[in-house]
Amino acid sequence: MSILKIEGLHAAYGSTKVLNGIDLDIAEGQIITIVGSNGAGKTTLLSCISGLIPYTGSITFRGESISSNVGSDERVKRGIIQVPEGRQVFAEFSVLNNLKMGAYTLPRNEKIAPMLEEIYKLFPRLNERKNQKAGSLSGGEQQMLALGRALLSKPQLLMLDEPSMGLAPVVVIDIFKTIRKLNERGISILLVEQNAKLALKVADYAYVMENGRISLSGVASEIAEDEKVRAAYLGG
Amino acid sequence: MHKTKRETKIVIFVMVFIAAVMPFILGTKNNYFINILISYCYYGIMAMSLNLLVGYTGQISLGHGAFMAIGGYTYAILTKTLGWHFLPAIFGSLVLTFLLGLLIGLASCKLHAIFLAMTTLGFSKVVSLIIINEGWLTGGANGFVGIKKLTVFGHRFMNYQLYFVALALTLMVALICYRLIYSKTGRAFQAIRTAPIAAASMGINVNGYKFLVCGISAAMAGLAGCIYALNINYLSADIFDKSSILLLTMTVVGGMGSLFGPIIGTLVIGTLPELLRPFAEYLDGIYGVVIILVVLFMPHGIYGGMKSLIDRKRKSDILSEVTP
Repeated sequence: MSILKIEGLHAAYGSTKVLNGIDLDIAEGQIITIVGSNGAGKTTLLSCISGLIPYTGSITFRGESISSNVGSDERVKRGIIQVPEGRQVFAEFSVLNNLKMGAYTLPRNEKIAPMLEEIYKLFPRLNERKNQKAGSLSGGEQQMLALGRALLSKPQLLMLDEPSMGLAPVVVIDIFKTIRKLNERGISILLVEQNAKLALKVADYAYVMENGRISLSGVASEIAEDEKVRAAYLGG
Repeated sequence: MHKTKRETKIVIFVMVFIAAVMPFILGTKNNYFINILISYCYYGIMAMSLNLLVGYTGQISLGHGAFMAIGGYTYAILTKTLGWHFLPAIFGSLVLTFLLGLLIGLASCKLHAIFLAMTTLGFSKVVSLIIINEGWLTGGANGFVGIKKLTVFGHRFMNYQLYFVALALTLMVALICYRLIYSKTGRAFQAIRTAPIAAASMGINVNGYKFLVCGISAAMAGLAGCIYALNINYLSADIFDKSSILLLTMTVVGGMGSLFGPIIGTLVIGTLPELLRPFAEYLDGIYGVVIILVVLFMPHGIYGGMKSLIDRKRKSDILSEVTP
């Protein structure tokens, strides 16, 4: 069953068209990756799904159609969570308060202590630094914090925008292992990534985006073998 | 979220106590000092209002004096021209400034910081032009004269008694700010300032909160305008026009994004004109120099500077305990 289905999605910044009819389908419990060069429209696509910019075309989440005027807060409540590009932690808040912001849309009586336990188990580093300001964390720790914060919003579909950006290779491996773990817990994941090699390794299904269109899609391992993709994104 | 709670409480208690006994020390009949004390109240409310907007949500207003003017003029028109009682008149000007604040809020949802700053500047110019040109309503360039002193049940308030009313209102505003900032809403405000995209992806209604905070902040400024009208009994457009930058100076010098900052800023900048009477012509220049010095050496304002000094001392105390 598909958790998110997109048909004929168009979006533009002013008169500049960025998305020209995107069709995309995410099966429940899978990791989907979108690879493509800079400016292909990947982040714009995520912004549409999160409700940050207007679009035309249809987005269906769990069988319910979401029109362009449904606000981002409502989408978060339904379980569509984005971890934005460049981590975007709240630098002046402590790690703990950053995590609590993740629980912003949860009802007041929801107990977050057990959820925090869970996140500290996943990222012990965050527990050690919970009273430290988020701005003082390293890049990798900030990415973990951004992930942990997103988890507190109880995602059903987690969208990750360039989680490997600016991180050391060892840390990137860690982050991707975590993404796997989260997926094993039943969270569907939409991964946008420049590091196509790694993204295709971890994903079940892949879409290749070019100039605001899907140019190719298929099982991730097959896409990784595709001649054109290898030449364009995987360095031959 | 708020550590050193006990120390903070003591500081607040001492400050309120000093504020309360001040008129008795300086003399309840000494109108010069009482007027300065009352000015601390309305400037303090203005600084807190601006702090909420600029310091916590990161939206710069260069025309906040306009809301103070609207508050003051509305109060004056309602009480003198229409003969309303003072309470409904204050309420009326709060409602009007709140609604006009929402109007600016609409703009703030669409505009980035610097453009919003220009919009608010334009707004304040429009307000002051309306005040000057609509003489039948506002008294025009001559100003609005003859605003009644505060009178309750036939008892006419002395200036020092008005000060206590103003002080109570200031404390009320401070309490509202405190409750707001340490609430879920307050955290949302700060999240919007530090990382707006992340705030939106946490499900915070960014535009909704920007809209709301503009209204709240404007209503606070309106209240300050009412107190001003009650104290001075005379209004003119140019006073408010000039005060926008002065108010921003108070907020920046005191320390944005903290509760104490604006109050410290008000006390420091509010006192300067009195101390520097002999150099009154150079006052604007002196403000400029103060801003430059603060921005250079204490980017988080006087409050931020003091806090980091205390933190440093605490750290070195701990170190000296550890190393014999």
